[in-house]
Amino acid sequence: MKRHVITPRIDWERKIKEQGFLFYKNESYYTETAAYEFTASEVDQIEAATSDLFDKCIAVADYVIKNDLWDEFFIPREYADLIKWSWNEDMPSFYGRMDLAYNNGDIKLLEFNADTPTSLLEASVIQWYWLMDFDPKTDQFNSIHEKLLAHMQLCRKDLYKPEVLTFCCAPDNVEDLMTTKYLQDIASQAGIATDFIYMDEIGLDDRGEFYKKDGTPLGNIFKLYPYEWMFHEEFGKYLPGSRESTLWIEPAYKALWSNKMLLVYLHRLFPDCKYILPASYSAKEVTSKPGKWVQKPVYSREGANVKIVKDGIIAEQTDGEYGEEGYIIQDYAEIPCFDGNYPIIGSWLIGGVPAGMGIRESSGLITNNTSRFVAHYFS
Amino acid sequence: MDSSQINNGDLIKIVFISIAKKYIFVKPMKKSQNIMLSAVFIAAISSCNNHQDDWTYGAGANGRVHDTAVYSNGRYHYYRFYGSGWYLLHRNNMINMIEDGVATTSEISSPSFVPRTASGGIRTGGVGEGAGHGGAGE
Repeated sequence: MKRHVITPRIDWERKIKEQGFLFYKNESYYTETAAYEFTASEVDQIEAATSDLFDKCIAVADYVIKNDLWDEFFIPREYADLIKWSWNEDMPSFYGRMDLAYNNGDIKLLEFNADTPTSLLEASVIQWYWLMDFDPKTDQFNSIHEKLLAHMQLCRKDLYKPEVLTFCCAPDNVEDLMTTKYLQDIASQAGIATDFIYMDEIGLDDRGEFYKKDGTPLGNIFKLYPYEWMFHEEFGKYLPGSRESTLWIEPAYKALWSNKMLLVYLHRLFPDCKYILPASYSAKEVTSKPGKWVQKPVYSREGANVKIVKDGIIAEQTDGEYGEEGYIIQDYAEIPCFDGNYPIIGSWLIGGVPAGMGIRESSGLITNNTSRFVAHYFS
Repeated sequence: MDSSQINNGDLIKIVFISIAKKYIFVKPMKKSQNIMLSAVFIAAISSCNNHQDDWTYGAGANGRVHDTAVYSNGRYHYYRFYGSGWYLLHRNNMINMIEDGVATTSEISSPSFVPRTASGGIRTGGVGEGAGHGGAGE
């Protein structure tokens, strides 16, 4: 893995905007001044690790469901049956992204963004078109678009009738909107009838069934919106009772994987796995512990409320509003530094199959919503 | 055998073996063969670009904003005064004068003021409030 300083395409800004990357200016989120080069063997390692980790995530979900560990995962009990049902029925899932530390062949899972991953358009489309300009003869670990299209064609048979899939995201956020619209576009190419509304336009009738405001039943919903929030919102309590009339993608079992307690149980069940960092739970913030470790809230997003401690000294810390459910303490994974830039690999799974990767680099050790997306290639 | 002795049959065999070796030893590309974006996404790009100018912070001449909260249907809705009336304040801390209607001060002060109406006995707004001013993706 090497980082190369490169010259941006002359008209890069126009090109990426035409490709729908309208949020590239958010905190200088995108840069073409660098690219990462991998060997084919390194890419094979990342692909294999992603596949192996996903198998182990399946084992954890099985274990949690069989042992009713809802309290340990801070999931309200009224959603247990819904999660079990979505798991046992293998309800359709489109995608997920594992964040991996890659250090000279040593791969560690940092977390699994299983429910509401973004940076999809950048990984799937933007860096692919960049490669076509940069050097189309080189390869890229990125068949995300093709795999999404093929997978959605397969999922079509699982949709409730009438076969319309309504895509939803939170309003007033261009990144979420364009990610959702990209997925809607692929679904449309897959032959699925689609439409779009914002999350706060999802309606509910007196019987607790989901509708659009105009009275059209919502039979199938893709939501770029986390279960951990829906479970605590007014309409959340109608999810279990309406499961036969509204199919939600991602499925409810994703609440188990997008939860940092997954990392604790991965370690408990697979303590010798080379991709899994030792991790434990603490109800309160940890102030002293030997070695190098990272504290993350059970529920947190975009790197908020994360603390990295090295030999008793706080190396880095972010603020935020999370931590109510307690924290997980994970061993620190060394991330290589390239001229002051720390890259994290976002390894994509489409329908449970490794499909590609995108790299986000930060000036610090914590990857958050100010980290930059950087393209990659291999030969 | 020198090159002058190669007949057409041999040449075909050599080319075939060469192609076969290449086929065996060259790994398939891991990248997508082609990426097509269709009408749904292109329309979204166009819509976003066309509507970028619809948004404004709605600051007054002094650079300050004037906001208020309206309690309705079990929750607060925030409004910002701009020009001659009140506009719904969105999560991006901006108002949209094109998409959203304006309310007068007397309208917004009335207990019967309904910020967003749902039709046919279908209620909305019971989900989707968690994103605050940021997105829900990660």
